[in-house]
Amino acid sequence: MGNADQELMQRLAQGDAGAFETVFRTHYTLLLRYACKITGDKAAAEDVVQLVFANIWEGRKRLEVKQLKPYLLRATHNKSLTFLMQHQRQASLELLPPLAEEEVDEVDEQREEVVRLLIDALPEQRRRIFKMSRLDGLKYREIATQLGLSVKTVEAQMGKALQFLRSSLPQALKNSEVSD
Amino acid sequence: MKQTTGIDAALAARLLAGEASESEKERHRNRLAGDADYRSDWAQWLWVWDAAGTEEAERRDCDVAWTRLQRKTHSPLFLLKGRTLALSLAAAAVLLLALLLPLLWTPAANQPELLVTAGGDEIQELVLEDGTRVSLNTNSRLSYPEEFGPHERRVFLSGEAWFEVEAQGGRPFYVETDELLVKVVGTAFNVRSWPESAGVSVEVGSGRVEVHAGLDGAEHVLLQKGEGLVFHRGTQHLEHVPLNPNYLAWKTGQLYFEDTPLSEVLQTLERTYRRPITADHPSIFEEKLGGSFSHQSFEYVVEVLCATFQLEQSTVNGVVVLSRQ
Repeated sequence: MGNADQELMQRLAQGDAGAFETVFRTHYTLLLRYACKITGDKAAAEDVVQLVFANIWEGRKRLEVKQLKPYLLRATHNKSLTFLMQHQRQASLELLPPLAEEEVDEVDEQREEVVRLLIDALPEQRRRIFKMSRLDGLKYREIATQLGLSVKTVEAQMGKALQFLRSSLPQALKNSEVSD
Repeated sequence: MKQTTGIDAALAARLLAGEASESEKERHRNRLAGDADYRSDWAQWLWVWDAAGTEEAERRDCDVAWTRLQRKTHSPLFLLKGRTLALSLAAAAVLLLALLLPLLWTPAANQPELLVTAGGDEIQELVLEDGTRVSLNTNSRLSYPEEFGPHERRVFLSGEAWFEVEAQGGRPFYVETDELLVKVVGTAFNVRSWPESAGVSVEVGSGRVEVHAGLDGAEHVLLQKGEGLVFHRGTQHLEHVPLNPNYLAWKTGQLYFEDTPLSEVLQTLERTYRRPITADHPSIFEEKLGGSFSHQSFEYVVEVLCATFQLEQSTVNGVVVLSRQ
């Protein structure tokens, strides 16, 4: 983990844009959620995270970071506080200790995980059809052609998949809360 | 159990996936408007559909943010500071440059933080450090540094704003949106970049601006006073459009129509108040309206339209629909 980060940082220092993109894509969602938690404002959080990464790129030659994630979280934390200070949304910053890393994505990650598990629990063909429609945004006709099925079948499978999610999701979410 | 009024799962999927036929959509809209049970059932389907797509939505957010960041760090237009100096030195004295590099990078490290201004319920009037005046529409957001750099002035906009830029030789003013880069020398212009609409538009009140689209800013268009353009998010293309005479109504509160077809009036109301409105019959769009409104609410203007043309209004799925009485 640490080694992989160090290698990324070395490539970054040499101006490797691919390494920068990897760093960005690996951590973006987490940092966005983190900044959102602190600022309570998605738009502001987006700006904060942009700033964090822009600074990384600009300072790439001087950065000495062994582990990226804690570094990025700290930078996001500081920038979020700066934002709050500029907007005086928080009278005393001492009231805001850094959030533990695990706290950041707990709830959202949990919901995503539950949804992922439910989708995975669908019969294979139904699951493929549902993902192609919902996640890849393909038209029913395109899905039918790709899988060698009729549009009617795709329609029926989509209905069943959605019906299953609707009847299972509320309970599954409740269970996942209890189990924690 | 609401099985009798509920929406069949396959139909719900078709509606959500954009596969429903026109008659199905029509029926759906009508039932949404008139049937509370149907509405709450639909809300459930919508919730499940959203939950199943969170991952995808996050991936898309990440893509948009990456594009925005690349614009900042990679586009030649954004690498003006320090970089040109470094390049011209490079040929002459590589060794000297190596010694100088840490110095050249220092200003970047001390770059001022961005200030973020989120528009609230009221239009905000801002004066930036360089004297540029900005009217920021409600629900809009402007990011700008406390102090601009020596070679350029740059702000980031989401939503809509009117800019009156102070000309400063050799220090151009840039307005960045997710998709466009507007380069200004000294002029007054309007930029609309609402996340929910199909296009981004730029309208010039005086002077001229250069609008760049695409990551490398390769596609660009020069706009003069009285001209406007739309960047279509779907096709990713820039198109010249005539200036809507009411393009500043959101700021001035003044709407003026002269023999204007209702099709255009409704479009103007949509963009001014950001409330969707349409009519259910082609003949309604052809009616002509003359007259002006000063600081009136959306509801008031719609009532006047109804009274003038003997129409009645209903709200279907959040959209105001005008019909013949």
